[in-house]
Order: sequence, then C-alpha cells, then structure tokens
Amino acid sequence: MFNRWEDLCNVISLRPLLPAVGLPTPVLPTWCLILYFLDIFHNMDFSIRPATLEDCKDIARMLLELAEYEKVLDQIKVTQKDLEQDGFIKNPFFHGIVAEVPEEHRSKEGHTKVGYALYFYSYSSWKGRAVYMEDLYVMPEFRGKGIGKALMSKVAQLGLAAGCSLLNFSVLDWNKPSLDFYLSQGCSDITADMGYHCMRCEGDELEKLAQGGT
Amino acid sequence: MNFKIRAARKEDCKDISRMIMELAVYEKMPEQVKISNEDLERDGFSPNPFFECLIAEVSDEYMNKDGKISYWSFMQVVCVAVAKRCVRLQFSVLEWNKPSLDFYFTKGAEDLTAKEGWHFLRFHGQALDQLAREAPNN
Repeated sequence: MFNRWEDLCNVISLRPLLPAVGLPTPVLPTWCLILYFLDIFHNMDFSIRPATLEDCKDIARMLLELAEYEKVLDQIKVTQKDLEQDGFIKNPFFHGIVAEVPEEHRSKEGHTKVGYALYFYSYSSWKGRAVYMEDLYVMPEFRGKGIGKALMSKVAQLGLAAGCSLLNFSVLDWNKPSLDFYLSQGCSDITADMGYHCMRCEGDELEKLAQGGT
Repeated sequence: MNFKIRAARKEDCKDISRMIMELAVYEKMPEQVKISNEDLERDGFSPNPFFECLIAEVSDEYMNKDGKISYWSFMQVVCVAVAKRCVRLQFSVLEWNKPSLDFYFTKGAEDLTAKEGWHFLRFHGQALDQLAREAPNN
C-alpha cells in the first residue's frame, strides 16, 4: 500500500543530497507540507470487514472501552467467550463488523483493529424488518477519519440488503458529540420526537417474573 | 376466564395484523402501520424468522378484551426470554401511556430513558438510503 508518510520522509531526507548529484532541489512551500500532513491524517487507510471468531478478543477490549466512555463499566458482564458463543453459532444473536488499519498505522498499544459495530435483526410491527445497531465504537486516536461513518454506513447497507427499512439504535442524552454526529447524518430522535421510552426488565426482577408466568 | 398462551402459527397472521392496527390506533399512530398479513407470514414463518410471536386465545364465549390476558401474555414472553438464557427483556412505551407504564413498573421494569437518559434514534427512508450509499465497497 502506498505510504505517503514514508514518501514525504524520503523526499525530505533526499533534499540535501540532490544538489550534490546535480539535480535541482524540489521546492516544497510550507503550505504544501501543511496540507500534506493534514491529508495523511484524514485519509488514513482502513478497511471494514465482517467480524470473525478471532476478532472477539479485540471486540471485547473495545466493548469495555466504550462502556468506560458511557460510564457503565460496572454493568458489563459479557466476556470474550460469550461473544464467541453468541455471535458465531448457527443462529447468532448478533453480527459484527470490524474496522482495521494497516500495521504501520497501528495504535500506541499495537492494535490494528480500531473500531467495530455490533448489530442484529429485529422487527417492527408497523414497518417490518429492522436492524438494530447495538454498538458503534472507534478508538479515540482514530476518530475524525471517517471510520465511524463507514461502520455505520456498512450496517445500513447490510440492513437494506436484508430487506430492512429501519436502522435503530440508542444514544445517551448527555453524549452530545455522538448525538450531533448522528443527527447531522439525517437520523430522527424517536424519544424526543414521539415520546418513546426505553424500558427494561433484568436480573432478579426478570427471574421473578418468569417464575410467576404460566 | 379460560384462555391459553401459545406460539403463533402462520394462520394467525390475519389476527395479528388486526391487533397490530388496534394497538397503533390506541397509540394514536395508525397511519404509521405499513406492513401486511403477507409481510408477517413471510418474515415470521420462514427458516430464519425475523420475529417470534405468542398468541393469547380465549374460548368463544369470552370475546371482549381483558387486562388479565395482557398480563399473562407479557409473563409468557418473559418465560421465553429466560428459557433462552436472555438476561434482559427490552421494550418501549410511549411516555403518555400511563396505564401501560404503571403495569410495567409493578412488574419490576425500569424506565431507562428517565433513569439513564437513553434516547432511541432511527434512520429510515431517504436518510437510510443515503447512509447506505456511502458505505465502503471493500
């Protein structure tokens, strides 16, 4: 893959040598260098692909990072093994896609898997087939490069291919950067616009309810 | 009142469709219902169904709606969830629908929108098409 950072370094390192071999020094105005650097960081190469069993370790890692950001780390019970069992069986409970960067762009800790989305198919009794995006996450040092948008678009594309007419997901109301991003992409806030509240039964309450059913 | 809760069959789709519309009327949004019997049959009764469904059925002499049937239907969904080793049952309720909200609260449900600030967001129609068009091709 064409590595523009290395090419720039090569040009800069060659500059002092060029007059010695009779070649003119290439003129690189400062504004070119600035645009060059900005372009490198904006157009970072990345790929989006379906998650595999081997990705569960990195998905589990990033899932915890997302939970920490959402201030719900103490609520996380799912493990790498749960992801492997539930996402890669005959009738999986979820599907995943992963964003990966080349080795030379790996994170400070050495990770090349830098983002993911988890989604599953659901149903609207009003509109029919739907896809629910449970998680969308990009590691902080890789944000602002179009990776989050690419992951979300891919979920939309996969959903449409499966015949879905809705892409549903949820966001915390204080998470303004995410809310602003999603609203700028054209989504609707169903809670604010229509008054739907998200309800949940879990834990002991769920068990008690189940015991009370016929 | 004698009633039973059972798994829905393909032939139930006509009644399910009728009751979906009744629920939409109650929720003041009947114009939002776009699916048909045929959609339910195709999406609920194929090898990889998009949904599962439980039906509450009464014997002929009890033709009116009864709150107790709603309660037992909800309980059966909970049983299915626990049997499949689910740890959560999630659903949504309109904020003005006080009878339903009160019912769910008495059963131990939490309102995560009020408690934690979760909002439902949605892409649909042209916005969804546009988003999908921007997906990478690799």
